[in-house]
Amino acid sequence: MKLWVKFFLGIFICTALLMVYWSSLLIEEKLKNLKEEMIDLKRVIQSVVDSQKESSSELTSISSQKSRPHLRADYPNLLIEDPYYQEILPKMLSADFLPKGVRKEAIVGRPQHLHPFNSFKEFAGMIAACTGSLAKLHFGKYEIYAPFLALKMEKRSPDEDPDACEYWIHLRDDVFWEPLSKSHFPENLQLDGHFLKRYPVTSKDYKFYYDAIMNPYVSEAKGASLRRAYEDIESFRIIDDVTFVIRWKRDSHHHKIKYNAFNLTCGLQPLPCFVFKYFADGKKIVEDDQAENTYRTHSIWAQNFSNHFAKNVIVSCGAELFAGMTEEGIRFIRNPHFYDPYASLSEEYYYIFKESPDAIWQDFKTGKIDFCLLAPHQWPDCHHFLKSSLYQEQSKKGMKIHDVKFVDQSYFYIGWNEKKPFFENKELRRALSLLIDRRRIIEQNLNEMGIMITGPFAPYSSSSDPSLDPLPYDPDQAVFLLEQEGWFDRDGDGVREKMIADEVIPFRFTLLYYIKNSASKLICEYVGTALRQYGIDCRLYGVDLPDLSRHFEDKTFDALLLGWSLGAPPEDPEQLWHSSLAETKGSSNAIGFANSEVDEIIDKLHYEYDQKERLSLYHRFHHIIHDEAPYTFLYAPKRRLLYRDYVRNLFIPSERQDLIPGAAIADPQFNVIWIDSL
Amino acid sequence: MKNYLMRRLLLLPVTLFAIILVNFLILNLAPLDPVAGLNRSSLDEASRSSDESALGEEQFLLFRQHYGLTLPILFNLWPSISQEKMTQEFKELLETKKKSASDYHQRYILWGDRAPFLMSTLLKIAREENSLEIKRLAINLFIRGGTRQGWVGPTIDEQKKQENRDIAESNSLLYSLKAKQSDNFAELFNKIEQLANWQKENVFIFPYQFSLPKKIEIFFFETRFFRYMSRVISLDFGTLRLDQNKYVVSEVAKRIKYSLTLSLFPMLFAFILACFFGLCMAFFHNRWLDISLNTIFLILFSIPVFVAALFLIEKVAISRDLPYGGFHSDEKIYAYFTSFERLKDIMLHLILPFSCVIYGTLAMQSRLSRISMLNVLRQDHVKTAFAKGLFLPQLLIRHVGKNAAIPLITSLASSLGLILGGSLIVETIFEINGFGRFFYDAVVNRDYNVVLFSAIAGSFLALTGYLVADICYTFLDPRIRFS
Repeated sequence: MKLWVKFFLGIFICTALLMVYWSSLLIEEKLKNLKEEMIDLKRVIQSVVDSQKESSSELTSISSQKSRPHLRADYPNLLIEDPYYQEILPKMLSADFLPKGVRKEAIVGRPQHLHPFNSFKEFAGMIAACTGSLAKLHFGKYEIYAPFLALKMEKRSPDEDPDACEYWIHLRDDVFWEPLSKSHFPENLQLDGHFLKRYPVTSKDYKFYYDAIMNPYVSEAKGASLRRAYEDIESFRIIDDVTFVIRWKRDSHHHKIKYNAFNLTCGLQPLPCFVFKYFADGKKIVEDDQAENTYRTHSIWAQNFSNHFAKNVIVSCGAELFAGMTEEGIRFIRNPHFYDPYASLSEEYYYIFKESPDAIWQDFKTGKIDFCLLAPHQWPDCHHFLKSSLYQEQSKKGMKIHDVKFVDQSYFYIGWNEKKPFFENKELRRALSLLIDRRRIIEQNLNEMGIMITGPFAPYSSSSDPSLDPLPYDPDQAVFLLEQEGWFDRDGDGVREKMIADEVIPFRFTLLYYIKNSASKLICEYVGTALRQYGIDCRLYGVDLPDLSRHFEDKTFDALLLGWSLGAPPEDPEQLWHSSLAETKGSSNAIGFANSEVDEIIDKLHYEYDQKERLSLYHRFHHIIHDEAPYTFLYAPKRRLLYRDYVRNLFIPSERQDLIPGAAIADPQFNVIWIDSL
Repeated sequence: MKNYLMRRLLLLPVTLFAIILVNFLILNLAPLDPVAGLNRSSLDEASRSSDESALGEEQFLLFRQHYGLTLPILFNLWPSISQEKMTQEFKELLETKKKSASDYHQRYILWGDRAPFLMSTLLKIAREENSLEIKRLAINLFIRGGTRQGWVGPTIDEQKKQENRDIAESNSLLYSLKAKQSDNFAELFNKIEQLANWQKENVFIFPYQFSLPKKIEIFFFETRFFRYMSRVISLDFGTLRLDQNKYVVSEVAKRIKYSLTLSLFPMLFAFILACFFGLCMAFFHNRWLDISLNTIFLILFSIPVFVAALFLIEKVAISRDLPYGGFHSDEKIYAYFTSFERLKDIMLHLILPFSCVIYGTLAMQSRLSRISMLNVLRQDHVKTAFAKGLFLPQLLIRHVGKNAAIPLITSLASSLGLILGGSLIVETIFEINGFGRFFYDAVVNRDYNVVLFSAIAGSFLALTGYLVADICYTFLDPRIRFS
């Protein structure tokens, strides 16, 4: 027995020693944190002193022509102040309003890195919130821009070439890059003092962003994608720290710059020179970088940029500041130095990384997060939860749940690869669309959470032709079309065949879909069954995202079910529908669609400025796509966003014409909401 | 015994090499190209932004170079490809472009990978062929072959810095010489001459012709497998595919605490409890304790983990306010806890996942232990000892437990290799970032450094487990001899 006593005593002593060791580690860690906090505090005090000095000077005033020799009063400002931010929002918020509270959201997946060219939508949005752009869209509207990091944008024609068009951009001089924080980096990384200072955002940072985009050796997908958008910039000239000039190329045929040039110019962001030109030890990556185009052409810099030490932090100068990322989530705080007090209405923002929409829903139920976009299959559980005692208790504490429904800026479709013999023919593609009952999909698979669509535009967009009706569900007509094209079941095996080049080809193909999405799986199962009834053998192939991406990029699929998330107008159908991209690996025209009239319309849209003419071109384009049926347009999803009672000012701009006349955006905007304390 | 151990230890690296080779081949036969295409929305829908531009062929070639996928897998015969074959293939390649975009891209990318070994032949084809299309193709492949990667990071010496400067200059020059669709014969001719001059200056890197010893060297050493093995031998398992600042080993080390808690501890805990329950059931064979425990374990054994986990979250965690997501509370709160509070917090967070991991193993091991104990209890020496009136705990531990532990140790040793596999389902449901999810994501993202590490480390652990089990046998049962 003595042995047992010794054994347990030994275990107890070991455990106690381990606990003592752990406690000492924690004390050490706390001391380190305390030191960091002291440094931060010192920096904050310094910045307050600095900002007081700055506010006393007259540097920030636009009217100060002395410090703005390039600002010309005779050129109008292309950026118009947004009345929502200027008048309506200040009125809604009391005079003593102070941003408070932590806004908590959850997102599916976690970022592998936070590189400035991160292409994942959610994270790209976070990066944009921390950096900002030259101008921002008017709240609830498209194509009207308000000043943001730029005070003024002028359109000038140079004296030596009166036909040319240049945008003169005058930056604010009160926007600063916040210093990097040592606590955001691994302990073994020695961060040079160079990174621990505030720097003003200058023209050089915008030029650096442009250079990084245009550098052909930058391997990030988003960099390559932006390169195509900005390749029509003819020159980028820095005049001084707060002024630069962008000249866009004119088309030799139309003698105009592209219609989208202004929008793209407004979207330019700064890239911090003080970080991405340097190694962590404060030495320059390219020692001799005096040449104007160094960062546009340097392959070694591009390699280092891809593997930069700061790729896991977001260097911030915008309304929100990056405050650290852990395995669980990513945190941002309001930038107290940002010039616009209404650009960020919460004190803190926390995004939790979750593995699935179900995990997000569970967190919403327990009150860990403030918002939840409900998937159709979660509805029954939601109704059940709203009746539960747990929810009744939450309601009493001011955590009542509200919801807002809206049609998402996206649509789902089945794309038919036109390089495959079955789908070359437009009558066959139409027949397939006629065989798929989209009404049934919306009713039975989506719990009515979708609306029928007729083409490739958002259903409420003006580009969408309202005179078109969705293709009907008409199996008889479909069978007629199939037989007209020579597809019969000759051998009675239940699958139609056709003789093509002396070979009997059965109508058999594979439908690719994303296996993790239950709605996609159910829809594909229905489509497979529906087509099989009419002699078409549709085999289902569910894959995970990397495989789906690979098949999509290599165009090695027969048919696939996928969604397009739509960008902000003006719509540019080039990426999806221009024949020049039909053969390009990785292009969005994955089905290989080619139509000369569509090409012509797309080319015209690039240079057409007359709004009426643009609309008629869009409608004609819509007609052709509807007629050609390259996709079976399934539905535009309706979303149901749940939020707690303490979330204020969440609404759909297009439904509040009384507040914002002419508002067109039809989904809730998160940048004007605030949290009321419980 | 000594000989046996020596033999096993010598066989260990050979077995590991065979495992690496097989896994490497299987992995490399799967398509490894990085893809940047589709996004996952917050409702887990696959979509892509309609205004996103295509990357283009050159970008994909750059990707492959960036991820080190440009070399052949096992043997490199590329320097021996003849000019005639190349010309013929280029003609076919241009024909394919009109027929199938995917075939064309696949073959173009392959030629892009081969280009660094065929620079002189490419230049000859560009000079000698009359077709402008073939000239353009040969020029662009030559430029692709000549474009080199530099040294990355601040800790490089002056020589490497100079090399970087040369590479950047050379790459810029080559980029400016790319053949465009609009280039006419004279312009192409001019570019070819400039490229010839460039090769003359870089002849030490891109020789006009490879000597036989050089070809043999390339045959064995310029391959993905050799490069990987040379790193593995120096215990460098590389970096993550999507973030080259993160090393595989350090990422695994970061997750050890999760996997110790969710793999190793439950395994050991279940082993001890299983021995105890097995003993109880065997000792009270066919009595109410045996029957009731047996029934409970049968039921537990048949409940799938994902059902139990979701049930526990819904009925225990949410309704009783027990934390369930992650390994500990939110970092902001957790950072201010004392060590005891941290321990309590971790334990509260781990009650549910730990229960989910342990119950299945416990049920299975207990039933196994019961059978094993019963076998030993029926043996003559136990009956004799019992009849002799030996102190019961001594009898059960020394005479029964020790002998009955052999099958349990075999089962334990065989599952040692599974530690690295983690408990994927439990980790996913309870949002714990352990090995299971780490390796699963690696497989999905084609992160072959991580996948190969898991195969190597898993095999090493399994082999070590069997070796340890063999040694344990000799201690548990002195009759077992390996000589």
